[in-house]
Amino acid sequence: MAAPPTTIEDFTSAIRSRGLEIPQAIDSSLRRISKQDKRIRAFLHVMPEYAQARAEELQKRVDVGEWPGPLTGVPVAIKDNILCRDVPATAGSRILEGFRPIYTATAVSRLLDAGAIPIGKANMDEFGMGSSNEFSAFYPARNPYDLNCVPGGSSGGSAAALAGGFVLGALGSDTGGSVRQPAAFCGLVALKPQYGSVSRYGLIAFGSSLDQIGPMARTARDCAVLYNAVCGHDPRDSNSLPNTAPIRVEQIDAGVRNTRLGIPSVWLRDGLDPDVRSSFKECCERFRSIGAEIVDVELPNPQLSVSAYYILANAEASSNLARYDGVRYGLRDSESIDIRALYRNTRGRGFGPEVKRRILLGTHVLSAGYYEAYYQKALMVRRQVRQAFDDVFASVDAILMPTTPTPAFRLGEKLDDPLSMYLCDLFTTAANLTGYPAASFPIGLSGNGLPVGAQLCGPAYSEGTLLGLVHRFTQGVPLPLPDIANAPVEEGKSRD
Amino acid sequence: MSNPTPITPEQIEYLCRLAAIQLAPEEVSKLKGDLGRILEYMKLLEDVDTGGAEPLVQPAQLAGGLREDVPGTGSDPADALRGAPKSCDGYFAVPPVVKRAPKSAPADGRGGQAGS
Repeated sequence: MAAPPTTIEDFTSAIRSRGLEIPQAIDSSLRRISKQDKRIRAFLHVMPEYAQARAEELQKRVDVGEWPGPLTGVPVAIKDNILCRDVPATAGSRILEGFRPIYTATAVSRLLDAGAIPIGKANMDEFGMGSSNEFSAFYPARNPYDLNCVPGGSSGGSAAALAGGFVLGALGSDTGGSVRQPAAFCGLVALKPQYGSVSRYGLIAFGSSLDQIGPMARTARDCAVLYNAVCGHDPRDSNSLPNTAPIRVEQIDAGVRNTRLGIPSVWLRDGLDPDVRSSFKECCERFRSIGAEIVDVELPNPQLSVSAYYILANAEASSNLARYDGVRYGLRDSESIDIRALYRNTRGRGFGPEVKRRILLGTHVLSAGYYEAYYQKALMVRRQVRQAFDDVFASVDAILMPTTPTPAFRLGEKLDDPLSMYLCDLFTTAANLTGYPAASFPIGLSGNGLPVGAQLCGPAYSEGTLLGLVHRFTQGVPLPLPDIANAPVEEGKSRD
Repeated sequence: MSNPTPITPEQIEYLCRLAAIQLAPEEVSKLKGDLGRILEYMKLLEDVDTGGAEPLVQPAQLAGGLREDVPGTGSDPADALRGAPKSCDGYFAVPPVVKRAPKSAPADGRGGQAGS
């Protein structure tokens, strides 16, 4: 019997050529999840009956010669902050325990139109606030490459579901790096698209000027197919760009010759893990060998982007999370005797510690007496960061750097130091401030067998160029999946 | 590293009032340290010369974004009430809004059945 397909492209080819049937493929995913996910905990909610019913229905259509769409039959994971009507959505938080949405996100509707099969809702850091999935109010997820390590966050469950071989595609969301960093930790290709190119309708809001839904997959071409299925104008998102076009095949297959890549060497002088440094050096050599020109570029200190990001994201979050008040849905503190107490106690009991930290920080930077010094200042720094990137993009096609300073860290390692957790986002936050697209892709493994990722940042509408570069670099070959069935787990400093 | 920006318990209580979040005493003391260290880090921005830079609120910078003022179908009210912890006659039901708890009530405002 042929080995199961490892990419969306191989999967859809096999379905089309009738070498594989959708119900059998979905059953195989579900069986694998049922056996192995107790070790990974990629999912908060699995939908076996729904997935199997949809598989049967799609196979019937294929049997009579129809081809519903480019993702026909493909099992996908949906991050739990993206809404599917009637399917539990928690955003990783107890304050939404029991909540069932009354509508479906545009991105999910479009995946369904393309024939995809959502298998489950993926684990995540609560409300998108975290870089390790350890701030899920339910349980942490683990990195399939090393079960004692984090998969990254906040889209940790989506990344783990892919690296665990449970699904072939996933939707995550990226506000400060939450799709790219887990992709780097788990050996995947992920894209944070141009802000406004993928509708936020149905994405539980964290930082509205920063959030984007992003596709995650094992190859650049798979990532492009997912992006094409979900991108495009949506009148229900008031910041949806009118002219977003899908990525064209020619862009993915374009050569690297005459492409100029900029590297901010000053950023990489200190603070890089030695394995990241050596993998990145090899990555640059490989790009040169396939025809890219590599030059040094100057960008503002990334710590400025991280500071500005955390001020703006937390300010926006303090506003967006005001809606969780126990009145209309989710958790309600049943013993509160007046409305103010209801709000305070519901939120005090329903939000986890990181969420509370960020809401209070956001409240502080917006409060009278601090607004100019923090919030206004951060908005001006945001403008300057974007101008700096615009200046660099005048002379290079894309900027290349490691996605993160280190590979995946161990569970529990950063829980006591929120600031060190925030610095995981050192290289990723700038792309959310500017709104420009950025893609993470695997460039190798560390000495301990953990994936290392690099990031390409491009100007507006450059998704096709970025994924084309990734495709050329990787030659379309995914990082091999780890063997999770036999992986050891230590007793340790983790929350579950 | 320089000393963390001092944050007083009174400042934290003020923020909790603004954000409508009740914290337990042990949470307040941990937050003092965390917020202080984080705010100290953000002081990096103080020294940045932003000159006359125009604030960049969001990257899409689209004009308008409002839809036509034409009636459409919104959500079904029954759907909207489905997830309500408590509802009554098509309304979301909550404990007293105008009448405040008596002074003898516990500090965290808990201790009764929620009013309707």
